[in-house]
Amino acid sequence: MTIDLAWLVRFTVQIAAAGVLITLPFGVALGFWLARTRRRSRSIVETLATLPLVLPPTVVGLVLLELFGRNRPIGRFLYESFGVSIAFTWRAVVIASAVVAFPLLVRTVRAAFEAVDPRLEAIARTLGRPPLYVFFTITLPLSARGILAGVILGFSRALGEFGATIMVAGNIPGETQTLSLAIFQLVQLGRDPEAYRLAVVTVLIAFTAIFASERLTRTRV
Amino acid sequence: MIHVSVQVPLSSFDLDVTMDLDGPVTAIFGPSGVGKTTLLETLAGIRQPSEGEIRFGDDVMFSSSASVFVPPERRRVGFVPQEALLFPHLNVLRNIRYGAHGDDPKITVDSVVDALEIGHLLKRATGRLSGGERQRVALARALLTRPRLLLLDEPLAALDIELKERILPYLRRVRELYDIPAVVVSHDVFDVLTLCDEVILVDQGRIRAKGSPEEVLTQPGPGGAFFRGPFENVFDARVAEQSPEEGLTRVMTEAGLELFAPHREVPVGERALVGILAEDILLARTAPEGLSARNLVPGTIRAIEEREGVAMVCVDAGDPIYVRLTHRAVAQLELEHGQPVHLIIKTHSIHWIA
Repeated sequence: MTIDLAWLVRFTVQIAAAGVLITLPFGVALGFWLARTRRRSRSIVETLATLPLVLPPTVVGLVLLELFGRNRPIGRFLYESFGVSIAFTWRAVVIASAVVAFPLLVRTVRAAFEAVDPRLEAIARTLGRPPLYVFFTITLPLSARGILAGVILGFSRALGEFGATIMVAGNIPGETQTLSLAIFQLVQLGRDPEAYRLAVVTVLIAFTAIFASERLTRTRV
Repeated sequence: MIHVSVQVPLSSFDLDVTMDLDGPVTAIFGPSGVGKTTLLETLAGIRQPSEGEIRFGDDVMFSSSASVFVPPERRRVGFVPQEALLFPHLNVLRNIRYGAHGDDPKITVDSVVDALEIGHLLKRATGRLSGGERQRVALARALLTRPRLLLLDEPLAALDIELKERILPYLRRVRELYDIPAVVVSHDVFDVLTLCDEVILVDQGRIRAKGSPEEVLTQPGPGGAFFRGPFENVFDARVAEQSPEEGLTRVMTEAGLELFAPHREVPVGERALVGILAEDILLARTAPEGLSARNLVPGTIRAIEEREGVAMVCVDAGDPIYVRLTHRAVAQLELEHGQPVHLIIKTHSIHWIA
């Protein structure tokens, strides 16, 4: 196995970014609902949305495999209708990233929306603007920093994703192998110096992302 | 005409009112925490009553029996909340334009900006406005939606607003220029008398009285006792100094009004609630000398209201102080709005409430 560092970094960052972007609309919608609803079902939904954060990633991977394997309901449907395979392809890596990034995104986004005074939204509606317009012109701009911080947090989590990915996508160099999977394989092969090199690169990427997120949430508007 | 008959459950009591507002400017008057703001919110459509009906003219805005609820964006009400609630991420101009729509040759951005004197503020961030400026911007924002009804929540009470910045003159101007019916929540007698055509007195979620300001405010009961019967000025102050040997306790309000009250054994810094009857205060145009009274308080006349030979003069001395005079005294002293005066209050006219 030869290590193409540039390819690995690009692949890992692209996968993590794609995973977060896929979850973004859902995360924003659910975060807003959680921030504003007074329904009882809120706690249940919140718990379900947090689950991927605390479950062992292998369990998450197992669930994904149950859904997207070629002989499983969604996997079979996608393969037979569109000829698209999910399990053990880069698509599975993206899905695994999305699932593990989702809880962090939702929680941060919810907090960002909760910080927006709902009376501002009410006033905006008395000024003749319907709810969707108010959401995009008042709520979203006022919580933009928090949402961006959530995106970065989710992205960082997706970067380091290992357990779910290896379950549902395997560890195929050049196809589904991300930085963290490559490090695992190198250590198994006894090629520790190369593993350390990748580890340093991973730390640098994660550090940059988290640092940016901290700066965003700390600086006042 | 606006018809309201609603029930809204609140935490400590239920708001339950039935009323027709004939306007054009109606005051909802009463102590704080009795459901006045809730009432405005139900008119604006921000809060849904549990039962009842709200009609603006022939248009039903809410009806529990017919399952009608017109959302706030379709009610065309201009709501000016107590804290202004300007959008913090937009500058003043973008705030006032937020809801602007339609073509009304009378209510244009230029005309509203002129009337409310906010032209110099348009490019400013909302965080850099004074309390009075915030209110005017909020009023401009509401006006530019060309509302059929203006709702003003305690526009005259915000604590951080200095006297010279008060919005009352602007409200009068808006009334003259645009002729939009309005509902004003207030607990200031003078504001109500000078701005509104009718008063609805609310207490504990119920309507206690309705009528012209004179009728309601001169009736016995919570709103009355203003022109007839004793009217008491109440000051929420703190003990500033004790001098038992002189028989005096000096108290001071947050606004800086200083009064010498009869001595009472209360530690310095403690709260002191003191009262002075409006008829126990003398008023002089120039500062008298050689007085026995310990309290000589300078101030400025803020308003004069006369009914049936009795005049209530409101003097701004840091806090507003109401003085009851005869019509004749007002005429002979040639008292008028804005005039500097001195109030003379005997120590023993000040009594301790708590």
